[in-house]
Amino acid sequence: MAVKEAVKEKETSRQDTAGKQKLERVVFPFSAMVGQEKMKLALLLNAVNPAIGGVLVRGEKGTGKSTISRALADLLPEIKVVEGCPFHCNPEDPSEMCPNCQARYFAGGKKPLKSILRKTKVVDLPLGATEDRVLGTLDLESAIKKGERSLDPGILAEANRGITYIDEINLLDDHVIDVLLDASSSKVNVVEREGISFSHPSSFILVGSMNPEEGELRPQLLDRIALHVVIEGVANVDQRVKIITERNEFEKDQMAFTKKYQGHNTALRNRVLKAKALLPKVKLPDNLLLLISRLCDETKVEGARPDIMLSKTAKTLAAFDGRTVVTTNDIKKAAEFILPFRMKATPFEEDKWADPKFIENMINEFKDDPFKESTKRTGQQLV
Amino acid sequence: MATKTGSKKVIDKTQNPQESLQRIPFPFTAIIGQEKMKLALVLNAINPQIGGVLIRGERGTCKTVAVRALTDILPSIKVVSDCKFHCNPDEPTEMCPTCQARYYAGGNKPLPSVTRKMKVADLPLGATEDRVLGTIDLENAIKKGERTLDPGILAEANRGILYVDEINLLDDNVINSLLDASSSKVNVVEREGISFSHPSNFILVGTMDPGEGELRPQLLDRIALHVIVKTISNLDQKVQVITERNEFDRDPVAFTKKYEKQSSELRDRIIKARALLDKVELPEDKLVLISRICKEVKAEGQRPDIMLSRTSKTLAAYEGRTEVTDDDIKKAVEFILPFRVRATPMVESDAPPYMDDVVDEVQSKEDEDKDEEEVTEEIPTHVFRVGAPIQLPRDMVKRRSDRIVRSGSGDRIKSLSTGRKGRYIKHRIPDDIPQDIAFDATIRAAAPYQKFRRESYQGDAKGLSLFIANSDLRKKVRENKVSTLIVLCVDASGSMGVLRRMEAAKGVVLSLLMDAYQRRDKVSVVAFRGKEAAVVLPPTSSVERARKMLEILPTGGRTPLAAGMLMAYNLINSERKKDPTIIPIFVLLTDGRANVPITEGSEPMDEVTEMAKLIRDDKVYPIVVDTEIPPSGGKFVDFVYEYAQDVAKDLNGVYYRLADLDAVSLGSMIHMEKSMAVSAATGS
Repeated sequence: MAVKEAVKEKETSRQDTAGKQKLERVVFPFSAMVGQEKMKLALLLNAVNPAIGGVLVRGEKGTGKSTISRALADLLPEIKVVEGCPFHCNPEDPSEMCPNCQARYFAGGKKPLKSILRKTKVVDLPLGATEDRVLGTLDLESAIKKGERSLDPGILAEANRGITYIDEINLLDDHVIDVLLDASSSKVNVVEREGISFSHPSSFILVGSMNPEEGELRPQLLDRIALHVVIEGVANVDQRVKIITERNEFEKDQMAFTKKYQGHNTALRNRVLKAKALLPKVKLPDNLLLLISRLCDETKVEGARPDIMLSKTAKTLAAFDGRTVVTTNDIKKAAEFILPFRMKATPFEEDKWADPKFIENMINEFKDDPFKESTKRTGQQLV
Repeated sequence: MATKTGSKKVIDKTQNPQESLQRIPFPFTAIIGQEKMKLALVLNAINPQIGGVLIRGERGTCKTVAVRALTDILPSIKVVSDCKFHCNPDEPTEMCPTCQARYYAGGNKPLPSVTRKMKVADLPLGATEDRVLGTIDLENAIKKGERTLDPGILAEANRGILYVDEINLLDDNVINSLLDASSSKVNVVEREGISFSHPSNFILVGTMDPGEGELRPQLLDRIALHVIVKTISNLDQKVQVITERNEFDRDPVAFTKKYEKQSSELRDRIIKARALLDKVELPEDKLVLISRICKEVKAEGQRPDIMLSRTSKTLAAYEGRTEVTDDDIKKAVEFILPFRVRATPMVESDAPPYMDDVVDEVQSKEDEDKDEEEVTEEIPTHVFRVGAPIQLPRDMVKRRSDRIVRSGSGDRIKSLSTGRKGRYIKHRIPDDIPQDIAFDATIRAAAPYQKFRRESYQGDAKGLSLFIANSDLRKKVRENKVSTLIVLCVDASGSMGVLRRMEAAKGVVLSLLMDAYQRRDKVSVVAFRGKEAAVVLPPTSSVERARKMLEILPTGGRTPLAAGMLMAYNLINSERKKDPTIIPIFVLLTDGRANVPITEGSEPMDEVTEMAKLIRDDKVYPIVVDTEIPPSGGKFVDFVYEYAQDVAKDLNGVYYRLADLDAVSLGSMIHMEKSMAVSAATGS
């Protein structure tokens, strides 16, 4: 049982007092989620390739946004981390290490540090979090008991090489968002407070869910999150019925229900692992690279970030399908995740890209000749 | 409280009435009328998974009494003894980390437990975030130098009921925390040096007076059963209520005894229903029926489906049946769906009676794939499309960037509050001895010197475990959002249909909304037409909601201008109750030709003047946009009625003509008003 093991692991590695304890949750199994295929795909792609850059799930109330985002935890692959390091450093790559591990690595003649295998973590960032817990702060106990100044690592440390999940991300306080933005762009968290001066790697996948009815997300943050998925309620009556029965069954006996889907989850996890192994071999042909640039140019999205996100996502899609060459279809799928929300100059211009075929049409037009003069189309009037 | 282990004990303990007076709730079974509310509460007592009750009604309709009385009939639960979170001793998935560790360490045997009643935890309106979520335990920190959690209300409410009186007036920060916990059933504390998570699975029961403002949609959706209570109108019942209450006040013990038989009957029935619940079947065809109903009424998301299935099962169990009937579903629908149906603004819908038919309607439909016909009635109105938004210039009036008074990102106006209200965001070194001490930071500041101080301090101080000097003290820096609320009062009468005025007006509203979105202000729209006014857009910062609403706002009918102004005035006041620092800006879009009075028989224009004066005296910043468009479009000197100008004079507000409005003027106007309002409010 996953819970038991996790607790055992906690027991052995626990150095903290009662002030730091995390509840291991039983999550609704990912493979038991009915419908919402696009959202599932977006999350899985991130599990395959953390470099894609996160998922933002937007949708109305009660559509399973939070349930599915939390369910991802179970599918994540295991990673090697330096034993005893609070930042879960990569034992082999000094560029991804905290200062302590780096020093040890070089002192030990550049041999990989002692490591353990561990599940990728999903760290919750609650809306009520205070800045000191997010960044990290002075370790109270060692200061009082030993008179030493040391860092008590915060959420950004815990989230390193894992996933930060924020439910209702649009309601997050501005000062916490600022801190997040800083860390997510530099992948380093710099702590300069209370006599502590320390910086450590903080590279994480940001997964957020929001209901746009309660307000929009800050544009800078919106831009940082790669894949955007709009989710709607399931309309199909059969599926709805299935959702009710599954959910009720889960509530009745969580363990039994989780067990029932263990096989499915394992299969999915294996697929993720395979794709992960295949990913470095995936090729993106030059003409498709040009197509990506053309699409970004055509839709007048800001910056170069979308181009990079598109190529990474398309590659991951190919790997997830077991292919080593990216196709136009991969690019289409990736574009649907990445472009629409970045094209939106103002929130009121939704209608202009509302045509679901918009991206497809554009791809069809340019796939043979990326340098072709563009014809008159809605995309031109965007800005 | 150990004294509350059983209702019997409570009664036994009442030898000294002086002490236990407040502890005796009015007996649940003695509440007269309000059957729907009672049923909703009982259903939650049977099946906590249903997901709470929201009781809406005016003051004095027994709302609070009923919730308090609920304690008496709640079933007992087993809890781990000494656990602050009342964990379930048998189920590791429902335990806090400490209990979980103990459970597995002890070889998966149930932990030592006590049986006690389910509790009702109160969440008062003034509760601060740290009280709700939990915070650092000061005593432990000072005495032992250890960091531990001092559990908050969300811990207390675990496996019990969380009761919020006037839930619609709850602070936004607290609501956000509630949202998190209510959906995940876990409370994650990441504050003041504490990182802890524990189960927080509670039944949310809220009461509200809808006259004082609506509940946030996200929270509304989380609460399963919605009940409207009305004042009892039956004279006999009224008399009975008074006599009962008097009797109870005179001798609560005797009164409770009188109802003890009924109470214990109800308790037994609940216990039986609980046992039966697992056996209740919800056949496939009934499940399909539920899903089709939800689809038919276009309820948002999948939550209503699940809530319906649980509620109808519980209803069956309560009736002692093991099979769900159509009638159960019907009853459940009445509790769950009316408030979840997407409402069209200004189109009267008789929600509850309509609901009654939905079940039959869906059932009688032969072919489910057949496209449903829209059931909207014909209304003699037009819906005008939204005119093109005009680009408002940004930062026409530059705000002074005074770092001490306001800080923050974006364009939101923030003020660092001086009192103890607002969110604790960081700490700083104070100028003198602070009142509002940031304990976590203070202890951290003192911590490195402890070893030294312990060695050098003499005398009495030697026995202390923590030495704090004045120089360690840190002050909490709190932040209060001074938000602006723009209330747009829009004339949607027939005269607005002339010359596409409505289209232009919608364009203006849209530009304002967009501007507010960029600045993260709240915007609300009140529309008036025909005989009445309505809040078509409750205060929101969501553009999507606003745009959808604007698209479907119909025009037509006469002009109840005073009613519209009154509605806007009330809205502003109810928002002020939630947040006294709010800065309201009142924008009236009308041609000023009022022709329907609030009270029948009085002169419409007189009422308008009266309303205008009322608003003027109330620190609201008024802007009037005259929608009267000269017939020639301004080419010639036209004879124009300038009723709206008179209204503006009475309001002592700024007056503008829609025809003259261009990008620059409206933008500068609003911003000017705002910066004036802000400087008035922040006193700079």
